[in-house]
Amino acid sequence: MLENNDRLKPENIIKGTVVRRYQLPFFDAYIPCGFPSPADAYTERVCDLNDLCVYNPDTTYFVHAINDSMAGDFICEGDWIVVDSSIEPTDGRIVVAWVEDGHTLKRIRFRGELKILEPSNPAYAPIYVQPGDAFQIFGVATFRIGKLLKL
Amino acid sequence: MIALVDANNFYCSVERSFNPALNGKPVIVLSNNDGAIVARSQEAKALGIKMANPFFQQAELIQAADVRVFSSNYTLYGDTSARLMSLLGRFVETVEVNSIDEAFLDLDGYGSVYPDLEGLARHMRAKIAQWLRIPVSIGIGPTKTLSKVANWYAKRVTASRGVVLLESEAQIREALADFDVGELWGVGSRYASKLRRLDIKTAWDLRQAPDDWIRDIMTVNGLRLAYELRGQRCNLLETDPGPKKSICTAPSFGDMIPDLKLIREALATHLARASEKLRRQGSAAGVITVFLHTNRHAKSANGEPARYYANSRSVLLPHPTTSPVELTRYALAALDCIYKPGYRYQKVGVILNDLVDDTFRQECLFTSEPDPKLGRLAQIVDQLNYRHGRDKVRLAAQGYSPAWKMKQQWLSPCYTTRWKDILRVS
Repeated sequence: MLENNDRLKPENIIKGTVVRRYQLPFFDAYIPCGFPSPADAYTERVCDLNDLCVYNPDTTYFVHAINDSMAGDFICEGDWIVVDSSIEPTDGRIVVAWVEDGHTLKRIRFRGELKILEPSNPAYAPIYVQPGDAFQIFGVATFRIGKLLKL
Repeated sequence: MIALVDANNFYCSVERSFNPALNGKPVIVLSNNDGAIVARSQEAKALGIKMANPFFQQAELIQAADVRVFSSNYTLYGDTSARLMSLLGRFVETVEVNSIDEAFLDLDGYGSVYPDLEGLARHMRAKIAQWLRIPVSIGIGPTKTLSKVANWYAKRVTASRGVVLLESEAQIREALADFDVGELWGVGSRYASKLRRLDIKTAWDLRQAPDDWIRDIMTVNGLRLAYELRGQRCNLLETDPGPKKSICTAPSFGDMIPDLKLIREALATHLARASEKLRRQGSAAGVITVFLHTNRHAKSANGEPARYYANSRSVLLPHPTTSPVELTRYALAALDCIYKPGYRYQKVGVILNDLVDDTFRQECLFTSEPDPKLGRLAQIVDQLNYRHGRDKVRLAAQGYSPAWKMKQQWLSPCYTTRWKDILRVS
């Protein structure tokens, strides 16, 4: 039973690569006067990770997470985070924001005048931002990219 | 109507956009080799720090006022500029990029989409502040020249909050009557003093002057300017600049260099950079010019002005090429012709000219067409260097010596173009 449930369907396996290769389809049929290759009509660009993670290239930045303060959201130390500054930072979104001593990655909460930058790891304390404090939102985190480890 | 969008103190604002700790602090950006000041934040201007002055002359003032100093990070500014221009294209179709930090927008025909132009400008300003964390000023007028005037006010009048619209005749009159004629776009200091002597002091005076008189004094260009001030368009938007006609790379050395070997290395490196630009725009160069000169203002040990030497040599290539291997061979031969020992050189530069499309081929009796293998090699080197960092794969002629490298003592990270430089968040 388990075996059947957990299998990837063949149509969900896609060839992917992160190299930027914007090439036009190449119609590779040499037969001068025969039947053209039926596969030519189905030639497509290979999948690009950018299509998946970058909706707005002009407002997208990559940042590097340097601690595990967001471990509850499965963001590990060393992960790359995709940040889009065109997305509205609404309550509950994970944002990159600048506070007094640098940029930080936290979940933002709006409580009236007060803003709270909430970590998702109990080992870290939340940051309270009062009106008038130095504070700027850089963008909303949209994807995390990390290396899977062998244990 | 035409809008001019111009980023305020662009280089300083870009540095701030990745480091908000600089907000409210005086910031300056230095030119290549950390020589002169090329950008100042509002706070630095208020301190009396002068533009284009050599940095060391004002070092005391800069230190005393705790001014934040940056070497120019053209990689970062260039990327932010490209993002800005592309984002402006979200609002209107026709965007003419006028320089790294300003662009003209054609607002004609958007009346039904954006009935309130000032509202549109305020919206653009707010969005760009959110997207790029950069303040811009927007001036709107019936012509390019009037949009420039409007932008000048948008930058300086606090009450405008960054947006000035010159639409009605009364608004235009009021703006031009206070506008110094020397500040007009295209009026240099010589024309400005000439006009002032003839009692043309403001832009309004110039606009009211008779056509024949203006043509006599300032040629047809002056007349065009007057027409533009009257609301008649003479300068249209140019949106497709096409590939560059020539490419020049010539940063100064960090120190004065007397040694031919180091100059050859510097030349090969400039050439690698120039040929990369060439390939990116899909051109090939037919003529290569190498120039070399000493510092015109240098003093020798006894305090006398040092002997000045400058020379250049152009080489007509056997066939247009993009290959750094071929270009370097001819460039180094040209350098060897003009190099004279006994001088301390300030700059070696290379200009690629007579650019043609890369696909251009012409067979001649005595020359063959460029070796396609060299073209492929250059492409692969470009790809490797893009992924692993600039100059990771290079010609041996480029050497490894840092002696002639630019001084960039206060360079900020390339946050958007190098993986090792991306922003770190905790």
